[in-house]
Amino acid sequence: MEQVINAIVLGSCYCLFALGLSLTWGTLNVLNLAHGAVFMFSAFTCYLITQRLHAHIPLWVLAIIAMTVGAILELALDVLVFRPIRRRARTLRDAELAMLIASIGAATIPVTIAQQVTVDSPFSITSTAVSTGEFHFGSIYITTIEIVIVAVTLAATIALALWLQRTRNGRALRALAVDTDTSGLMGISQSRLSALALIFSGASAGAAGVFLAIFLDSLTPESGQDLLLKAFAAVVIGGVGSVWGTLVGAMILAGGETLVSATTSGTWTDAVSFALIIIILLVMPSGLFRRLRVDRT
Amino acid sequence: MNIWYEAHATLFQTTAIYVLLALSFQVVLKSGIFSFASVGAFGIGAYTAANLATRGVPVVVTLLIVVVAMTAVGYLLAIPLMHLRGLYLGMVTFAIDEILVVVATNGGKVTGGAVGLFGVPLEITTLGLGLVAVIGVLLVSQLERHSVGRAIEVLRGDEQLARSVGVEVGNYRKLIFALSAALGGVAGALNTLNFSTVTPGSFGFTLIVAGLTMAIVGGIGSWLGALLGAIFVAWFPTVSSSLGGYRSIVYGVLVILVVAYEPDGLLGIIRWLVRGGRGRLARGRPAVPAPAGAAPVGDSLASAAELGRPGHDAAS
Repeated sequence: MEQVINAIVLGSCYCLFALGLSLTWGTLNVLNLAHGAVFMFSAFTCYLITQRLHAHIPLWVLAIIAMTVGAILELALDVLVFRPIRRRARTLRDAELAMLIASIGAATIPVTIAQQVTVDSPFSITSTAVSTGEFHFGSIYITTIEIVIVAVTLAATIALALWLQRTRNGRALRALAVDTDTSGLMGISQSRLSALALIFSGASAGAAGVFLAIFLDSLTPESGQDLLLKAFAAVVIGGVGSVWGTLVGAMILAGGETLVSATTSGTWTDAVSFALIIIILLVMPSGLFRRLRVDRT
Repeated sequence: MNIWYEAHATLFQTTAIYVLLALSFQVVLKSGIFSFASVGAFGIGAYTAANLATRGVPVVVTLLIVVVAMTAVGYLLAIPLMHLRGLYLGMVTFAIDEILVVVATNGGKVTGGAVGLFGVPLEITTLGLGLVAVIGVLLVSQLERHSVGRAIEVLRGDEQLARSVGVEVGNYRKLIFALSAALGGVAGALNTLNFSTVTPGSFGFTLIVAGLTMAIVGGIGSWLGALLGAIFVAWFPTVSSSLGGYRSIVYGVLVILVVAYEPDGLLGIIRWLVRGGRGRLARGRPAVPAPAGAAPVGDSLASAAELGRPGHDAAS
């Protein structure tokens, strides 16, 4: 039972982080490798603030700060890096590749700053009032932060799904994914929508950052990279661009990892996510939740 | 000069190894195949060389075995990956690389587990490294001039078009995978033979990032780009050591600037400088954003015409 709760919380963290990755990959063809650095830097900003103020800051304030930082960072990434590339690249493939490399370059900036400030050591956010609460249900107990993580993840997943399905902007973003040129002719602005998508992506990375920093007690400047690799798997399992697929993919991945680390020595745990990526893409390339557009074959 | 050379001998060795890895990335990327399998090949080559060299196999034989084995592996790997394109292919090859790292970590005696293998006999000289790198460069540059190279260029621009002018897309993909794997494998083997150690950490995510950066920042159009990229990645930390801990930021900003503002990479910038700074920095840039998934019609026809194959005139 304890293991099941662990897997659900872990899966929620993967999902919250992976939602932004899935959104930008699925609709804008951007594989954003700076997502992990944004995640880390949002948590790192909260760490700096709690360090300086020595005060108890409520979790929701920290979450808002982290989401703002994340949103600003990814918005800057879109405007300063992705937009010029989209304008200059000759083909879609060139643009995909250029944006991937540029996001790697962009990721080194926040990671280096954090490494220099912390002198390559882990940092932790401790002075929050919320992180200590516990609930007991018979033999099992759940901490407040675990409940918050699961609740926020569900809320973010539902909100993103509804936004993409119901709103004008969401529909425009999906249209952009199917045919950029035609949707351009219909008056859909790619730059505006890609900015919106990256703001959402950054905010969810920020939230994941602050929650995971509290849940795991500490993060390192390199934490984002490990999570990025897991998120790839979650996105691919569920099907790129599928919101519910990302949630299911994250849960399958977390369940599989928990199972493997409980039954083997632990050194094989990392293989789970990579094996899932290979199997899914070779056997059912559109993931468990098929999207409208199939561009993989 | 001599003292300076001796102080930087390691950097020259690293550059030679990186050139081969960059070429390995370049040949696939140039063909429009988004594959990171080069790093997996690097890993297999590195461990194969370590095992052969410790058993007293001569360097030349070791390298030949690695070339033959990796060519076969690359060719066979291309078959199940036939139908994957774009970022999806990138993701699978990335996962294959990372699984190899986990396998190496759990590999027992053959791979030395998490600490890796060390004390491999140092049997190759810097001159030898340079020679192998030159052979790799010659191979790729000759390919560029050959009709194969021109077919590859069309393949990158527009696969449908390539098919329509009689390019056997499937066969080319297999050959390109094989060539890329052979180059990557040799780079890995040389790395082991030169530095005498190999660890699981030496060919993971970090090397994928380094290899991609070299190929793209240098410029994927020509072997010269791979050379420039290898020099950039190998020498940057030393050259910029006066910047201290924050030099990685300069590196990141340089990578972004080159990639975002010059699609032809460092090679494009140097060609622009050679032209005396005349003309636009990036040549052939379409005035309007390119349509999704295909080169602008004008470009496609031009590159098809360059193929120059009688009876396959795309313009007619």
